Formats: sequence, C-alpha cells, structure tokens
Amino acid sequence: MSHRHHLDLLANHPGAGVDPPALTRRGFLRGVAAGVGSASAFACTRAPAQKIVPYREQPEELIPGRPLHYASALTLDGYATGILVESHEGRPTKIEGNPSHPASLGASGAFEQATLMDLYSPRRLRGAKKNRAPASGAALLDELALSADPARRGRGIHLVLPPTSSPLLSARLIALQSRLPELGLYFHSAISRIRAWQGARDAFGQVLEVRPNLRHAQVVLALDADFLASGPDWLALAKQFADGRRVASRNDTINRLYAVTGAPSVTGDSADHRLALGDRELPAFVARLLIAVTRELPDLSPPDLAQRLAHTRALAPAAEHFLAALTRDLLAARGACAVLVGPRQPASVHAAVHALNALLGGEHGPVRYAPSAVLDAGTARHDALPELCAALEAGAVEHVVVCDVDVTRTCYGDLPLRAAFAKAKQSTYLGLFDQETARVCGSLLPALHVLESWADTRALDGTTSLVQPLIAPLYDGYDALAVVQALAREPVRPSHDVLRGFWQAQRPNDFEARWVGSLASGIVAESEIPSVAAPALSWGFIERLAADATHKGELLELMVHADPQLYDGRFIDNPWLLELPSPTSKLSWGNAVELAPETAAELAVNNGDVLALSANGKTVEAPALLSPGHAPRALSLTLGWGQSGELLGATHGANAFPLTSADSPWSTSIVCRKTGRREELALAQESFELGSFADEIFASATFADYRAGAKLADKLREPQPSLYTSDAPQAPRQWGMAIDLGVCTGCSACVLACQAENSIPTVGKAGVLKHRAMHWLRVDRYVTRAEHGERVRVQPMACQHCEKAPCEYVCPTAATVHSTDGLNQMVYNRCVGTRYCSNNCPYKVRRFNWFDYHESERSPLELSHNPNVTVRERGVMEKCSYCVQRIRAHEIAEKTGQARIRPLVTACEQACPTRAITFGDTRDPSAPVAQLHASERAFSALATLGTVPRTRYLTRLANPNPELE
Amino acid sequence: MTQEAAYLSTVPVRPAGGLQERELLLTAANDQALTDELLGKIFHPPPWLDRSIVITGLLSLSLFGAIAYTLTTGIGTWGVTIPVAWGFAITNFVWWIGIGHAGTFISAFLLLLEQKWRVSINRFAEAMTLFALMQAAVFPLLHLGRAWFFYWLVPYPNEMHIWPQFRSSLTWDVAAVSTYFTVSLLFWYFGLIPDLAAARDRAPERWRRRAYGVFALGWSGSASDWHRHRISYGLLAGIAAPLVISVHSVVSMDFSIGILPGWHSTIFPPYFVAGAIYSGFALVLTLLIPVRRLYRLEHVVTTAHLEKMAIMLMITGLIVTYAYGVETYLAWLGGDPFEMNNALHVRPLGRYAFLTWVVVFCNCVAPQSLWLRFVRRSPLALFVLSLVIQLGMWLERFVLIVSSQSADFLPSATHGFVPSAIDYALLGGTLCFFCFLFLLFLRFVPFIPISELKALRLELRRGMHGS
Repeated sequence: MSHRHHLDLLANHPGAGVDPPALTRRGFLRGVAAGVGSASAFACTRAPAQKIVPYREQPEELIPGRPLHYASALTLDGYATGILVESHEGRPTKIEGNPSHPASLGASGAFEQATLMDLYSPRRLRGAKKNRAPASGAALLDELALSADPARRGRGIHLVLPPTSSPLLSARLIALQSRLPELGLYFHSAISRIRAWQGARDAFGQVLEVRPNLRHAQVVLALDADFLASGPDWLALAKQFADGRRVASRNDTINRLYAVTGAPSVTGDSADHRLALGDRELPAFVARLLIAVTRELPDLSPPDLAQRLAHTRALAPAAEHFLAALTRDLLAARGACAVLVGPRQPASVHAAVHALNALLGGEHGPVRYAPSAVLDAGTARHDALPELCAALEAGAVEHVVVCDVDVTRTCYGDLPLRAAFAKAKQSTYLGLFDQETARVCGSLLPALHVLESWADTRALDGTTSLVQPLIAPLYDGYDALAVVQALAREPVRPSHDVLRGFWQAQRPNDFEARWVGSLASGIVAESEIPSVAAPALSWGFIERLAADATHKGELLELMVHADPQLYDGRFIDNPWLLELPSPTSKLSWGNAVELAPETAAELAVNNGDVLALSANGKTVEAPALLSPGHAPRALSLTLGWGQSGELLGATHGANAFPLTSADSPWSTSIVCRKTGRREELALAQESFELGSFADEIFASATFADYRAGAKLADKLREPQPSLYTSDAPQAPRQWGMAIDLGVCTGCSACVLACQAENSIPTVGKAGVLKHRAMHWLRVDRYVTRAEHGERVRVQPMACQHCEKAPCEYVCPTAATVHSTDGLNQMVYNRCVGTRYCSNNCPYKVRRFNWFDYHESERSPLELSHNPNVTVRERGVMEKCSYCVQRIRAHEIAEKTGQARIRPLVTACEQACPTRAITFGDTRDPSAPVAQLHASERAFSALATLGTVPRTRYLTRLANPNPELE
Repeated sequence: MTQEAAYLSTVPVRPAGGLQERELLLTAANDQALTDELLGKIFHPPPWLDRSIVITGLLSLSLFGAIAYTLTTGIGTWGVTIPVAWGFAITNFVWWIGIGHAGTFISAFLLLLEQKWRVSINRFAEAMTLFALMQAAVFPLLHLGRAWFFYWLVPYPNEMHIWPQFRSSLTWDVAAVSTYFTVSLLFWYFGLIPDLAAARDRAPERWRRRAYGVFALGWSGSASDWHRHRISYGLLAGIAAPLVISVHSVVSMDFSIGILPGWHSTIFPPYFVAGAIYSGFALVLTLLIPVRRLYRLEHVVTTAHLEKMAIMLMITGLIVTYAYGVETYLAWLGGDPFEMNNALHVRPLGRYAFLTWVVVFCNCVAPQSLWLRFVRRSPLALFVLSLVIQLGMWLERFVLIVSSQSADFLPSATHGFVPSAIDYALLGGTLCFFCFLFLLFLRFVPFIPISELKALRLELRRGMHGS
C-alpha cells in the first residue's frame, strides 16, 4: 500500500475535513508507519546504473591492500636518480631510493620525494591549447610536423630541451639533426654545468665528468661545492662521506672536511672548518692554494706557476692562516684527499681543482674521471640561448619549440628572450605547468609526468635506467619523444613501443629477459661508463685563473644559487617543497637576501627589512635575512622564486634571474638600498642559539678527545629518579631509534620522506608564520659563534617516544598511551584536542590540526595519501608514530610467514642519505640500534627531565685541525 | 561580647556627610519601608537599565558569533599555535573562575565567621560568582579541538568501558568547576527564596507575582520555613567554604602538574586561591560602587563596607606579592636551569617582559595605596584601583600561561603568541555577556538580601536599645 494511497484513505475517511479529532491515534500511527515505510523504500533506489566488476580474475601480483614497488628513475638536468615507487592498487603514493642505483643507493632527497605532489597537482595543464583556447594535441603535433619541412633542412626551427642523457632521445635527436641539419638545438638549464665541462676541457683537453669516491678520502676540501645536498650524485657522495666519518669505536679514524663557501650550505654546516669567501675571492684562494701545493711538489708542475699567478688578489689574514693549515693537511693526506668544486665557479677554478686533484690525489686518489652521459656535454649547445634570442629578434624563427624547461624565465636577466618569443612565427611549449614560457608560447602541449611516462635516462656514472609509468596519464599528455617524432615527420607512436624497439635493436640477445630484468631492477646491466684516472694535465688555464683571481669589485657582490626547495623554480607548484624549511636558514614559502650579520650591521639592516638590489638596470626587492657564516661584503639570493601566474608558490619570494647576466651568471655587482618596508619571513625556527642549556640538549666533542678516552655527555646518559614505576606488560620487542649527529648533515630529506609516508598536510605561508607547520619530524639548527667561524649543529627532532612520557599523564581522555612494545601512541579517535600533551612535551614535536587541512585539499591530491595511515580530522593532535604502519605490516608479514624482502625501516631512515638514522628492536643485541644505544656516544636530549626517550642521539664528533683550533 | 556588639564594633563611628554610618543603615522608618525601598529598585527600575540591557545583549552577540565561527571552522581561528597551545581561552577561564571566588567567599566564609557586614553585598557577590562561572565555562569547552566530545572528560559508564584518564588534572578540573557551580547556584538560590517570596507578595503586576511565585517555591515565612532555611543555608555554607579553596587549587594544578618551567610549581594552589579572591573582591568593588551610586544605596552599602573590602584587597594583594617573590626565589634556589631561565630571564626580560612588569605594578605596587585611609574610603579611588587589579590579574594569568609555553626547553621551538580577532571577540563577548546577565539580575532579582538586612537591622536596634 503506497503512502499516497494511505493518505487518500485517511482523506476519504467519513469524518475527514469535518472533524479533525476523528484522526484517531490508531489512524495517525498507521499513517506514520506507511510514511516511514515508503520513505525508506524510496531511499533505497539509488543503485548505480553502471555495472561494476570485482577482481574476479585478480591481476597477477596484485593483492589488494598490499603495496607493490616499481623501479623507475627521476632526471634532474640530465642526470638520473633511481627510485622505487610504492603503488597501492595502481596509485603511486611514495617515492623511495633504489638501493641498486648508484646515484641513490637507497636514499632519496627532497626533490625525489616531492615529485609525487607534481603528479597529483590540481593545477597541471590538462589539455592542449592554441592561443589559450582548447585545441587538439594531435593537431598541434601535426603543425609541428608541418613546419619541419625537410626541404628547408630545418631552417627556422629551434628546439629547446633540458640537458638529456636519454639514449633513446639522444639517438632520435641525432637522427633529427641529420634530417634537419639547420635545426637550432639548445639544451638549457638554469643550473648549467657548462663551466665544469669547460674546466675539464681546459685541464684535460676533453670534456669529462668528475667522479669522486669519498669513502676513503681522509681530507675533503669543498670549494663552493655543496656535495652533501646537491649535484647529480650527492646522495652517493653523502653516503661515502658519512661512511668515512662513522665511528664505531675509539680506534676508528675519521675524515676531515674543509668548506669554503660564500653562502651558507649544508656542506658548510657539516664542515670541520669553514671559511666564508665570496665568489670574487674564491679564485684567488684557489690560486693561492695551487701555488702553495705546487711549491711543495715542484717536479709535478710548471716552474713558473707562482710567477704567472703573482698578481692574485690578497686574502685576509684569517684566510691565509686557514690556507696554510689546509695546505699542510692536504699534503699530509696526499693520495687520500679530494678537492671538490661547485658548478657556479668559473672554468679556470674547475681546471685548477683538476690540477690540485691530480697533484694531491694521484693515480689512485679519490677523484676519478669519465666521459659525460649527457648529450653534447660541453658543447656550445648548452650555452647558446643568446643565439636563439638573436635569431628570434631577427625574425628568422619559424617555429620555436620548448620542451619541459621554463626557458624565458630561467635565462640570464640581460637576455630579452621573453619579448623575443613574440617574434617567432609559431611557438610551442610542452610542460607540466602554466609557467612563464607557457604563457608566451602560442601552442601549449601538456606534458606527461615522469610517473606517467616511458623513457630511459642515465646517471652521472652512465648507469642507464628505464623509466616506467606507475599510473595511466591523469590527463591528456605528451613527452619530448612525441615532439621529436613529430618534427621528424614520423607517426607519433606510443613511447613504450618506441623505447622497447630501441632497446631491442641495441641488445637483441635474450631481449625479453633483459627488458624485464631492467624494469624490475631499475638499471640496465653493464651500462656504467668506466672511470679513468686523470689524463695528462695541460696548464694552459693558469692565465685565465690569474685573471679571475685578480678580479676586484667595489660594489657589493650578489651571489645567486640554486634554491634548496625550488631548484630553479620548477617546483613552484609543489606544496611539500614550498613548505620545506631551507636546511640552512629554515626559511620556507619564499627566499630572502642572505647576508652576514657584520654586513647587515654596516648596511643597518635587520631581518625582514626589504632591500632593493639593482644591477644591469634592473631592480629586485627581497627581504633581508641575517645568516651567520655568510661571506662578508656579499649578499646571496636563491633562484626560482618570485614567479608570476597562478601556481601555488607564485608571487612568493623574489625573482633573482633579472639580476644575472651572461657575463657573470652567478655573481653580480649590485647596488643595495633599503626600501623602508618590512616583510615577515616564514621561518620554521625563530631562535638559533642553544643558549644556556646547550649541554642539556646537544652533545658534541672533538674526535681527538674521544680517541683519548674523554667521557661524553655523562649528564645526558645517567638514569634519573622517577616516582612513576611501570608495571605495564612489555612485549619482547622494544622499538627504538638512534640518530648519529656525527653524520647528520641536516639536508632535510627525512622531513619530506616523513611527510610523504604519513600524509602530512601543508599549512601555507600564513600557517608557517603562525608556527603551525605540521612536519612530524623537523631538523633543529643551532649556530654558535666560535673563534674560528660558526659552528652549526643540526638535530633531527621528532617524537622521542619517551618511556616516561610527559604527554601521556596529562591527557584527560587517554588519547595518547604507551604500547607494550614501547611506542608512544596517538589515538586520533579518542583525542578531544585539549593540547595539554603538546604543552607538556619538552621536545615540542606534537602537531595539532588547527583546521580541517585535508578537507581543503583539491582533487586529485587525495590520491597521494598513504592508505595505511589515518587521515586526521580537525581538532586532533598528531605526531611521529615511528611509522607504526610499517612496524605492524612487518609483524603481520612475519606472523603469516611471508617472505618479505624489505627490511623494517622508518621513512626517515629510508631516505637518509648518510644513514644517520637507525631504527629497530632495542632488545635484540644483534640489532644495530641496540648497539648504537649501548654506545658510549649515545645520549638522550633533555635526559635530566627523566623522560627516558627511546630515540637516542650519538654525540657529534668534529675532527678539527689542531692548527686551526 | 554579643554578636551585635561585635558587629557594631566593626562599624566605625565617624561623622560622614553629617550622618553617622551606623545610622545610615537604620534610616528607613521600619521594616516595611526598607522592603518597599529595596523591592522598588526592581519594580521600578531606573530608566537607563533597559537600554543598557539591550545594548549589552547586542554586544554579547559577538560572543555567540565567535563561538559559532570557532566551532564550525576550528581552533585555528585563534592565535594559539605550537608551542603556545593555550592562549586567551585558558587565560580567560582562569580569570573568570578566579573572579567567581569572591561571591562564595563573602557569602560562605564570612557567614561562617559571622561577619555581619557581608549582608549588604553577599547576594550581589554571589550573582557575580555565578555569572563569572558561566563565562568561565565557555572556554574549556570551546578550546577543545573537538568540543562536541567534551563529555569524554566526564566519568560516565559507557559500552566501551573507557574512563577518563584520572591522572590528568583536566579531569579534576571538570569535577571541581562543575561542583563549585552547582553549590554556588544552590547557595545563591537558597538565600534568595525569602526575598522572592517578598517580591511575589508585593509585585504590582500579575505576571510578576506569578513568576516570583514559581521561584519562591511556596515560601510562607512560617517559623518552620525559617527553621529549615537556616539549617540548609548553614549547611550549604559549610559545603561551599572548602570549595572556595579547592576549586582554584585544582585549577592551579592544570598547570602545576605539567613539567613546563613556570608551571611546574608546588606553591600554585595557595597562590592561585589568594589571587582569585583578590581579583574577585576587585570585581565586587567594580560592580558595587556604580550600583551603590546609581541606586542610591549609600545607606545600605556604606563606606564602612567599602573599607572592609579594601582591607581584604590589601591583604590578598600582599599574599599575591609574596607568592610572586617566593616563586622567583624558589626557581633561583632550586637551581634547575630551565626554571631559572623562565623566572630570571623569560618573564622579567623576555618577549612578555613589559606585561610582566605591568602585572607587578597592578598587583603589587598599586594596592599599596590602600595603606592610606582616604584611599580605602574613596569610592572613586577604589573603583579605579579595582579596575587596575583586574587588569593586573588577567595579565598575570596571561604571562604565566603564555610566556611559559613560548620558551620552555628547546630554543628551536620558541615562538610567541599573537591573539586573533576571534580571541578578542571571545574575551570582549564574555565581558558583555557578563554585564548583560548582571543587568538582568539587577532588573529582576532582589539584589540586596532584604530579609537578612531586616534581621540585621533588628539585631542592631536591639543592640542599641539594649546598650
């Protein structure tokens, strides 16, 4: 009986309309029952119209709920880093390093981790456009093919790519050039290695890549080389360096690191001795070092070298003192010392460093060489944008095609490329995001993200990796190969087929097994380029070095750098990187003019004062940030910020590119003026001074004292009396962590790994300004001014999982409790959000959901969440869980007897390039963590509070040169 | 010495405006005149009262708007952060709770101690207590990240067999504050019943007679009514008196069980109670002085009353000053580097140093003026001083709560607290809402205890005639 019928019945009741009370109790109840019944019946009719199919035939290897890991590789400026991608039912959620890849060795950096955010960015280009109107991508490719008329031999066609080491793309480009010999081909990167390549050519007569192995180096000198946090092989170098520094007993030896840097760097922070020298003075320092070293080794060098370098600019007395001690140390460690130089330095400095390595390292030294894997490395193609600009301005360009590089924004400031693009008859941009070049090009092709594409790529040492897609393209997209195919007037075939065909032609024998093997392991076997000892030196660079070393400038010097978060600005849409505090300044959501406190005092500038920097007729405004350890009389500014457009980080920070010029891309003389305005800096840390309770927090010692048997941090090792006795049951396993402060560099890869693993939201600049960043793991940085330069101490700080946790007894709802295996657990469901636990946490590692952060995430960012981690709602506290989801998955795997290949590691431990973090069962005497906890270097931060943390630190051991103490 | 004589000895006999104060209380011709005069205050309210009620009612909307915004958007709308996770809300809570002490202190303690002069002001102070507690109760509920689960702090049987975590002082807090509120409400209401009956009997309009009749609970004024009333009132006073001590002691443990330098201190319970009574007396003065003037009640609330209150202020102020000294001295004596940093660096020299010194001025220096007799007897001076002390006590809680969190153990985690507009709206909103409730009280409730005053008058007369 339908509801309506029933109402009709009621209406037709003899008394209806006449006598309302005639609606009897019984009638009323009948009506209600009918109403409820029919309402619930109607509510059930929303079954989906489409037929859905369960996993009746489950895809091979796929067990719902269990993630799979696929090997792939990420490429930055042509150099690959091998990765393993965790995939949940076809959805990549986490990127980890590939242990068998030589440029990763299992570690991963912030850029690798954060690539996921680019994939899922809601602001990716989603469809081809022509003159900002939707267009068909295939039609745009056809237009490309049309303009690439072989009859015109490619005249007027200009193709700009990032440097590439891809064997397939290289072969295709070579083929394309033979088909279109007048094609203009450019490789552009804002962080170009052209000067390093030129230096090698000056020294050795050929373009070679430097391939150091620091494992057994006793003395390392880093000249503006941030080898512990950037560069194509930094993950490997950081591990080698840390291995040479790890101490198990008092009988070990450790290496010594000298750093000469202008701006603060992770390497400078980690150095035993650092010297702050601007770019203007560094060539002079190198020249002096070369003179000093050759004086001791006269038979290996030209006799008139000192004479030829006689006019070198003088150094300050402190620098001379540093130089003298350094020289003696280097010579004493001859055969086991390495000199590294950064790509910003001029070719003459690179050449001089090659000479130093040849003199000091010798044939079996730590530094070796090999040809580059990058196509056309060292040729003018890598530095020819002025020619492109001239061609554009001359109106000689039919079609300029830019693939995946924001060239108009990242070219030198004195190159009017942006305006010149308007003069091209046709212009096409292939990219992920609507960056500046996309806005000046007529045609727009959305690019495939690397996790959506098939490709190949090579690491610095030549090891080749196959790039395989983890997910079907989220949107219509193309890759550079498609563009090259179109230009070659070939039918655009799927990249997978082209790639497979290419490799089948390369290695026809037993191809299928090799192909599958390469995809599975992430590397193509035997693809490494063998390294060689240094070829014979030619000393022709000396005159150039002499010229560079006498260079003087009256004005302030501005040094520009790659940004630790945004690199050259390509990660401008990446929330994780935008919010990652810079390892050396703790600044996020922007850049700042960094300068030494003395220089700031001279200029009467304070933190946050907006400065106007003028050079080449252009002015850039940016807030000042005082940076102890910065070179005096110099300022530094990182690249990549201050972009226009709609991307997440646009309008944040200042754009340093306009101040650069082709003559001196990395260092400019500038005029600096205070604007009188102030800007708030989104600093993750407010105070960098350890203050009066340094010895309650941090323990450090010199290696010499340690060897001599000095007691380390006794105060932070003694057990404290406690009123709380625990009779709680204890599981056989007791989890704990050890962090070796002797090898931690503060690079912050762990911070992002934690963010990715635990689906930690970002809070934006306003949130950071209010100190509400959600990172479960942060890296504390403390600077103390010592007599000889600054001492920087870094300390990763996450929940310490105190055995007597102050947070637990103040929670009124028992939402944070101890597990039997020693974890301080956070029960989100039970948390009402009094925040007392955070107040009572002496380490301040608890994070509160001030807003519903995940609710405001735009689709498809939610795809990046780890399905094994709860998404926290507004109003609850969260914090480091020791990756409890990994612990439990591991235990389940053990219980069910699954052969689990992957050992139990936390996300931070897994990413750490220097292996500073060790996690495991503290009750298992064979576990590394138990041994580290028992080490005489182990201490607990704030141990005197009696919290008994499960995370223990190992005393930082510095290895200073006694001469410089 | 008889009770009457004891009271009379507390009332100084001095010429004041040509009349002796003792006589001021006695000017009304008879009991009926006194009743009529005092009930007339509510039956014929002054013209400004209704307007003030409307204005404060409208201003109170900012409180409800801010509450709604906070509940729908999140605690992120406030200035709180990590490390300062408790900001205005907890400061306001402690301040309002503290203010709520004076009422019960005056009613219960002074009743038990047979201090007769309390009679003129106790109703008033009790109402203030209740309304202050209502303001206070807003904050601990609202400051929860998930306020809708507030009842998880209450021990109630549930199917999951989960109890609150009783080692946390926040669960004690719930019990202490709710008990205190209940007892204060009962105590206030019990004292009010005879006067409500009087209002019922004399109200000019029918609806008023009905309304007062409902709340008068059938009071007939018979000897048996009075007998039971006196017994229960005395018992309630006995229950309420220890609560005055316990509630703020428990509130202080919200801080002292923490390990935070600046919070972790065993002197907090007495220190907090003294501070609470201090601020409570100050607020009684703030409210009493204008009401006394506007309602022309100088003969009921005499200068002698004001002076008694002023002396209470001075005594509690000295206790508070002593506590400040002891707190700092013990931090230094203890030698704990974190405590020393907090007491000797963060508070006097750090980010909130200015406020710290304002607190010292308001709470320690300014009340020293009460050593002067003419200050103690000047309504204007006392009014200004009471405002200064309330400001000082609010800032004391702010400095204690916020500065301790802003710099505790790790220098890397230091950060300040900047209140948001919502924080100010909540503080201002509760002030307005308090005034709104208080004006309603003045409008509808006999705010001077008529029956007790009559009894006192009788006693005094007898005492005078007898002597």
